[in-house]
Amino acid sequence: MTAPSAVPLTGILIDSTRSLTFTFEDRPVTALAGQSIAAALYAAGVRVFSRSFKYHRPRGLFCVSGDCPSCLMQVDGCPNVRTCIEPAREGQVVRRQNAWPSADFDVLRIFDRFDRFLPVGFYYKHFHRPRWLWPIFEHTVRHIAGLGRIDLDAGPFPTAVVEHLHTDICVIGGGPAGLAAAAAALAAGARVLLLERGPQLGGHLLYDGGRPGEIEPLRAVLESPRAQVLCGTTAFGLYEGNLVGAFREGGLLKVRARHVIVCTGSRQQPFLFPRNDLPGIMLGNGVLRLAHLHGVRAGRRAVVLTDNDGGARLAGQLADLGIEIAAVIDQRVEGPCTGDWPTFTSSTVLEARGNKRLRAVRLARRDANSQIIPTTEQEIACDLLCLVSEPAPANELLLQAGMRFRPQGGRWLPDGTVPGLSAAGGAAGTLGLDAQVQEGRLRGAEAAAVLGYAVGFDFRSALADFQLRNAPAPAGAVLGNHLASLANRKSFVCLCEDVTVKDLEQAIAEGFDHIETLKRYSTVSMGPCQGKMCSLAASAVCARVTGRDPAIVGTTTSRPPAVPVDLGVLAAGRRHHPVRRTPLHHWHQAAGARWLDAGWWKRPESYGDPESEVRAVRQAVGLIDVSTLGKIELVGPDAAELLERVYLNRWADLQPGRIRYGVMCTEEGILFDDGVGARLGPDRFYLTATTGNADAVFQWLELWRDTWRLDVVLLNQTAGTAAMNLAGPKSREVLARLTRLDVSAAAFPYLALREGEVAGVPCRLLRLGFVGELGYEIHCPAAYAWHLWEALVQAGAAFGLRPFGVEAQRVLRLEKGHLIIGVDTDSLSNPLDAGLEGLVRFDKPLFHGREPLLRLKAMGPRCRLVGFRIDAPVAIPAELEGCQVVEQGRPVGRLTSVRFSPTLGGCIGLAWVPAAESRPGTRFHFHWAGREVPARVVPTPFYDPEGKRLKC
Amino acid sequence: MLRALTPLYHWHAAHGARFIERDGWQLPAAYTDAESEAAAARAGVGLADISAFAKLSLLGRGVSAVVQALLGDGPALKPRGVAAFRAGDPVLACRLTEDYLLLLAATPCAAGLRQCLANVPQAPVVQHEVTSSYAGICLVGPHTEDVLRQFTSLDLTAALPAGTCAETNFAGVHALLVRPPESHLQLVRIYVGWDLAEYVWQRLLEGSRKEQITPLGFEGLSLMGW
Repeated sequence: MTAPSAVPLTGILIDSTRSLTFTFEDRPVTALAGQSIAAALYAAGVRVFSRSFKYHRPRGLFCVSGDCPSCLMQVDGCPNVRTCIEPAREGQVVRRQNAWPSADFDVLRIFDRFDRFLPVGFYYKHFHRPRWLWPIFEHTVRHIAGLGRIDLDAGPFPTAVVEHLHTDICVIGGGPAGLAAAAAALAAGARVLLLERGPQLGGHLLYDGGRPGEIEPLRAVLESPRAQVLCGTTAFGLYEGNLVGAFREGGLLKVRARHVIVCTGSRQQPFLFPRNDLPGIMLGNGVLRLAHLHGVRAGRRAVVLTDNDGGARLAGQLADLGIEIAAVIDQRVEGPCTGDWPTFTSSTVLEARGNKRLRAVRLARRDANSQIIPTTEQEIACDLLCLVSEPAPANELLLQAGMRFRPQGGRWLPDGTVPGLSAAGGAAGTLGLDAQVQEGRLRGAEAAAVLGYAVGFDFRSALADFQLRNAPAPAGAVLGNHLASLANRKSFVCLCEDVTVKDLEQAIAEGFDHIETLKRYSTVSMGPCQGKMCSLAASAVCARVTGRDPAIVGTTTSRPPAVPVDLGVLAAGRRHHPVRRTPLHHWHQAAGARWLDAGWWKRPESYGDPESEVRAVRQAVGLIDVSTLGKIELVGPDAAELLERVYLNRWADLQPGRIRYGVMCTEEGILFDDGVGARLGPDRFYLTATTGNADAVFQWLELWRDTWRLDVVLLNQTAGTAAMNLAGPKSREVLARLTRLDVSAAAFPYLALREGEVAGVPCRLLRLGFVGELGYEIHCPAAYAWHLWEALVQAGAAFGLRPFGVEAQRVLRLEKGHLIIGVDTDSLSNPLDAGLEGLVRFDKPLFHGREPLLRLKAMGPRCRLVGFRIDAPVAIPAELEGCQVVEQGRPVGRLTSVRFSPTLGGCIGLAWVPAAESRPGTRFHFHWAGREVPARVVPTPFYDPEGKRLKC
Repeated sequence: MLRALTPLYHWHAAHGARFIERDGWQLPAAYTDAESEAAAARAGVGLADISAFAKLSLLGRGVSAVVQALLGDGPALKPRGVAAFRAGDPVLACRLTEDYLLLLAATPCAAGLRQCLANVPQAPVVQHEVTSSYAGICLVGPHTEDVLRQFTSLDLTAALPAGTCAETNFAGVHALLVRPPESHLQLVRIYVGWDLAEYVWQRLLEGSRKEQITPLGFEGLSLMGW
């Protein structure tokens, strides 16, 4: 495909000496460097750019600013690309979307013929009965409607990065007002960041025939080292605390500014008349952008429809571009006649004519009561209809940040102020280049002054004077009246969602007469444009139909993102989940560990065969990496007192060198964490906490240390200290080979702590028995963990040492009947019901949970955590965890831990059952796979109930 | 012989590092050659593992007295201040909070740190060696701030001028950033938990392609004036 006509225009953005080729629906298209995809396609004769959401009506280029949905296409596999602002690149693959078999000949256009049967909200009313019909219908609707489809084979797409920027003043918009604001703030000494979504600064001066030379001095100011200018950067959200969300090629920007000045300009709005969506109908500024930025003429013979002086001005500009002006249709009673073309005042367009492109417009005059005068109807042939409405503020970001707008004198203007935020130019409803530049300058100075910079003039008086001079006339036009003058089922208010004036009228008649409920029911303003092209028109329709003032009706709520943002951009910086690795991670990896995610930690679940790992620990010796345990040292005269208050049991009487198991509760008496504590000296303790609660326990201790003003220093050694548990009947012999410490039972008994070197590494050794065997938990600096682990593995080889993982550890501890807080308990579990009442020392005057536990004790237990055995065969016991304990079909408890015990040769577990059913020997049932399975309560520990093996 | 490994040792080994031994620590001398690594860092950003360098924390009410005795009225007298002094080798004193001082040596040997504290009058502080608690990563080169801006929302200009430190969220985890005083290099040290070192290191490498980030061995780091 080649361009049908020469393009004599010179677009600011294009380099006419360089061309490139991309593929459009398998055909090559030539574009000039810098030209947008849509502009190149338009130059190549393409007029149908997309098919509409619901009725599959043909849609053509409309706004040329990325604001409307009419040019969305699939580019290199990425759906919904706004091709009017997306630069063409060599080799791109471009396709139209939402049509079958093609956008030019879309058979789904048939829906447009049956629109009477698809009224507003039809999916809430139809196809719901019989019920089996709905899934079929839903599938069909989803297939037919909607936007593009994600090409799962496309990519890989570049990874977006996130960048954090800080500045005094962030100016959003590089048009005349934005440049003036930035220049004034810089002149006062502030740091300024200017974000401009286009590739060049200048805003509307680049295309609408303004005075570009006037901004050159402003542009020069931006050379200051305190200025940072980012073109091609689109702000999409203005969040609390003046956080500006923006994106540019390759990434997401998070800008934190002390003050934000929004200068995003204004935009023309569509008019409402039958078939107002035909290809060939464009916003006036869109036509200018296409010509002046991309060097493409939008048509040969144009009609201009307007409600302000801009229409006549545009007609002159189009004539200068070589476009024949067929007529100017001015909806006002009077309007300027600036050229040798007919101007129809008090007139409006009755209908656009054509099939897939505009062929003519039918117009007529109105009488004093706004009624059409039939005798004045006539048709004018044209291929371009330019819509020139009074511009509306592009104020989405301001609305997001809490600034309110209200209609004044026919314009939407800011109503009130928001600290740290201001607006200038078109975004503030200011019209005219001189006024926009002046307002920008004043707002820039104001912002700098608020931040404490010296401004060399009385900006307050100047601002007051400016506002006085630019206040709208009290008797302005009736806002939006012209937009909503004609009701027809083909007058489209919302181009994104195919919502017509008729739809809105019907929705209001059904009771959805508030603008927000109207939005939710009709989906007006819920499409890709997010209300930029339809919010004001919908408000005007609502105001007209309900007879309310537009100021009362208001507009729909603006929420971020204000413009479409790639999901990849939003995910920037979130692709990675933090991963905590123990110092032995790579050893486990090399040994073939299967990984288990425990919060951010990676833990070896097993090295292939958990059952043989269990047997190794029971019969010989095993080694497990427990570096993930929380490790906290307490130093200070109040260390014991702090422990007395946060744990249930006693600590003050613990002797140096001895260890004690401890449990802590919340103030409500709910189990919070458990672990062991060792006394290192009179004022020094060393605690362990569970992997999942390590950080929380440290913070908990800090909180209460500070609350009670206790004199104790807390050292978090979790990351810096590795820990490994050497357990099994042969563990003493292995350890003896590597240390000079006396590890005999007499010298190093159960629940004792020793410090000394193991394999040359300075260590703390805790004699514990979590897995129910003779065992030593060895703690050392993380840097030496690898050395120590390898030494243990080497020394243990002769004794059959095997590393074991978390799965084997869970089986081993279950055989001992040890509970795991967070697995066997939940946010309602208390120590009395969990069988830990022996630890609760009510004779202590103060500890967390004392009062609620006293009350619970008086009430007696409602349920109990008990051990049980399952005699029936079960395929995968772990799958039973969480199953409900049932009594006559009612849930009365649950299984928390279930495993097959290779030591005991059966399936064992822990379960919460009613207290009355907790006696050993009691039978209960749990629900699993649609049946009730019997189990019986047994005493715990299941294995070595006297504890002889761990105390030997 | 007792071998101490940094948490990034296995990454260095997997990427062809040649190791040298210092005070029992296995340190990456260079991955390719020191000259080219230093040249790349001077043009972009160098990334060096300084986890092995000794670190000592002082906690408690007496920290102010220790700082006064050790450094006088230097910047470390106030929270978030960083002062440089010598204890044989250069040392950075980072005042994290009123009652928390972190001493960072420029070598793996902690003896110098302990020695200098031995001469300080007794004060109610708890000394604790935290070399294995914090992994250290040094970013050096003209684009250091460009890289940092991708991972932290901290205002680097206002909140981290030369001679300051700041605890902040970095790549989604808690970190301490230290900018030494009067450095002729664009240099920032990042300290994170030992267990998070590999995650942060990989994030820095993967997220910074456009800044041409280069792993830098100790020989290259020396060439850059460390």
